[in-house]
Amino acid sequence: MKTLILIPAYNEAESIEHVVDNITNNFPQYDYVVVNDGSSDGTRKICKERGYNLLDLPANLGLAGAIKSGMKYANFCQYDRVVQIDGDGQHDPQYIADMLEMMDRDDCDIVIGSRFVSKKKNLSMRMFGNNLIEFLILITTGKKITDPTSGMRLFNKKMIKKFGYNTNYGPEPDTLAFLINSGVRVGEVQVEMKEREFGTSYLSFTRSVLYMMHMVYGILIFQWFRRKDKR
Amino acid sequence: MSTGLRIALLIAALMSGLFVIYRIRRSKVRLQDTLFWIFTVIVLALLGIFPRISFWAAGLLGIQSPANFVYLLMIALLLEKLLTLSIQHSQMEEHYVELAAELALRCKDLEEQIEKLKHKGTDEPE
Repeated sequence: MKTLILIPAYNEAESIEHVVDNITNNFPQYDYVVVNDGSSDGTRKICKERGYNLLDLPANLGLAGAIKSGMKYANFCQYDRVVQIDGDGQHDPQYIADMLEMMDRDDCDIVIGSRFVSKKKNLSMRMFGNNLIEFLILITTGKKITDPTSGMRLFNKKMIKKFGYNTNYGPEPDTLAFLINSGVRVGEVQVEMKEREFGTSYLSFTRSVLYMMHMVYGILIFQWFRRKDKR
Repeated sequence: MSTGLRIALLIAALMSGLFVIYRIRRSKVRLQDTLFWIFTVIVLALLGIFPRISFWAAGLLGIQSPANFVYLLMIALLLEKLLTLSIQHSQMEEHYVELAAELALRCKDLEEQIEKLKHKGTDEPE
């Protein structure tokens, strides 16, 4: 079983070195690929200089496009599993082993690294959004996903093909809800995440509002129009 | 508002609704691009089912015939779509220029590297 760590990176010059070196030094059992999503800072230069395994997109496609490219790469190189982690160093690769174990044990197609399996959410605007999405997924699928917005996810071969080659398979909670209703098995493993050390979050206020609007529409309305392929 | 117009609105809502759903089922359209059409379909259907909305809104805007309010609303929706399409178009145009430029740069870089390797190959026996 070959496992690939997929690191989408948009303007992560300050942190990418730390993230990749951590993987190559401490977790050599995993392969990795950095998908540079048309960064305007030195991300590409650093990756080239340090000889990282880099998939360099010529334009900025956004997270969904970066993940899609990474999944195509994984499929092309015949990986069986892909773990998506952020390029800002907030996800610790030590939890990948737990996620892989859960995938084998429970025959899951997707395993989410969740902050809240055994821990409570604190009260903030960000968690309000997280709670709302959790609630929407619960009422439309009957399944409790404690951390639907987590950016640390493990996919199996079947999901690699779906995410790499289909339309409307963005790495977001609405896809998750649709997949659960299509019979895909989703599991969650407790992980710790660090606060982001460098750079700014992709989600500004207006973006967050737009994001929430898309998620509400996607989970409540859009998913029912989509065609399900059976598991 | 005449019964004919109400029926026309309902038929328009039904047809565009079915078409959008068909496109979604064929995976031919992205989520964010369907939001506007689903919204429009709902508005058209509401106007067809509850003509009182048009009477009320026409009174509010000082329009004599409620049918004219329906036309105004459609023009407004079309203008909004035109505006967003025009913005999207200009962004795509920009993307296309960027892509072509970036691609040309990378090709040139690769060609230079190949040339260098060729020279290396011929230099070595000496």
